[in-house]
Amino acid sequence: MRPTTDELIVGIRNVLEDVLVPELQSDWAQAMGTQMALMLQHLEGREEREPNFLAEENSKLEEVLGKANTALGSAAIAAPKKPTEESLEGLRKHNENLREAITVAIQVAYDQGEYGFTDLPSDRLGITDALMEINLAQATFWEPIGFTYAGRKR
Amino acid sequence: MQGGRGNKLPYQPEIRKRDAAAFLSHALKKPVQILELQRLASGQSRETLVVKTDQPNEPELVFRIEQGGVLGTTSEPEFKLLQALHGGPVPVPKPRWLVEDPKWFGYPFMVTERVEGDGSFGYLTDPEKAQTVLRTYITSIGEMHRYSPEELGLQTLGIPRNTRESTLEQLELWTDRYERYRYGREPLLEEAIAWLRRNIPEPKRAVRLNHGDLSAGNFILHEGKIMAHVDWEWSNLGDPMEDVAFFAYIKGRMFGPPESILALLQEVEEFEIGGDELLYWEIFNYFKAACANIATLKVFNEGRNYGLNMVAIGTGGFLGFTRRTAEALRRAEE
Repeated sequence: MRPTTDELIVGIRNVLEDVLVPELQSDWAQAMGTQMALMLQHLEGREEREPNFLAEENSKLEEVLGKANTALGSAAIAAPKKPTEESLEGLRKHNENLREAITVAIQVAYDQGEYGFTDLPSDRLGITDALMEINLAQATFWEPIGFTYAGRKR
Repeated sequence: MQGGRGNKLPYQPEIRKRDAAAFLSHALKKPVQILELQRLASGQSRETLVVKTDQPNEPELVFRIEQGGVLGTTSEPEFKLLQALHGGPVPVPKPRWLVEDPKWFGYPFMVTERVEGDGSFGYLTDPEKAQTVLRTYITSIGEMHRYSPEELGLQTLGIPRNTRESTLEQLELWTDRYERYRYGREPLLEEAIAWLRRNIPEPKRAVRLNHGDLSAGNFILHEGKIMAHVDWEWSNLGDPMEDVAFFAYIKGRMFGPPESILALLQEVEEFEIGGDELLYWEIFNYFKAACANIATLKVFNEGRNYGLNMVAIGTGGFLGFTRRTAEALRRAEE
């Protein structure tokens, strides 16, 4: 059906940026208007983007847990079961469970060994780079939402 | 509750004027009208209103209204600190009222007198002026750290025995905020918590007053003098290396790179800045910033505050500080 969700979002954003924000009087209202425009830009295509993003992140997290478990050997953490249905809610829940399991793996590694000031369990488990990549991918997902400081008056 | 509006009315200047007039009429026991009310556009943890009344003997007032747990703090400790500090060597605004009852603005709030001067940071666009302000500010930071808590009259706030005890307290406080406000777990941050717990520095310095959020915009400047330090909600009695690292690695970057900020701070601080302890506090402060940022997302999603800047802080801000925490931890290995 037309207009599509994205077409409506773009239309709302155009009006917001070109018609409403220039008319707003206070700094606060303008800052909120600008943030709204950024959020609408983020929402364009999110419906399709989010399930793919989560499925990909979950796959990476499964790899991270697998690698950590190989390093942990007999102390390996039970891998969370994949959801039977690949719904958005199922993907989110699986994501939480995987993050929980990886956190436990890091704690187990920390508890198992002797660690100095310059020594970290995720490095010993060989999962640091992958965790950093996951963090960076998340930051990309949330673009273009960011900080806007209009300046402070007091 | 997802996407709810809670029980808070949206910010509207006329409603705020009416509410402020009602409160001040109650507090001053006479009819008060609001002549001017301005909401400051920045400042994430409180809705901050500057109010001018029709009372000739009443100075302009600053209302700082909580926003349902944004950045994980409440007004009471800040208000008590201002009460203790006001009139002493560390300049702060005069506190007037702490109001826990949410009937006036939907949330607890505090009121201080407005300090003459400017809290904006337009000087940052003029490099020479910015460096002058920076030196003035850093001198005042050194002065803040020179006094013992007893000299500042802070005995009633509970003084930790040493910096190890205070650091553990701060770590517990921020970890608790992370646990309270997070959604899923963030393994990189969880690892940092474990590392911070294992590597608390041995006490080498006396406990001092930390502002906790040293930043351009968190002091009032008038004719080249710091008239007041404001926004004390992250303050604590602890290791002053916390303030040093926070300013150098986080907010001081508005003035210049950490190395130059640290060199200036070394000129005014009575302890040696550097080594593993500085690195510890750099990591701690990134962790603290990440924890503070994630709090904003929950209060937004629960409808307790629907400022859209909350989302920016709770997503991009949280992820950014998580990454910086993990990167700094890796620098510890080098």
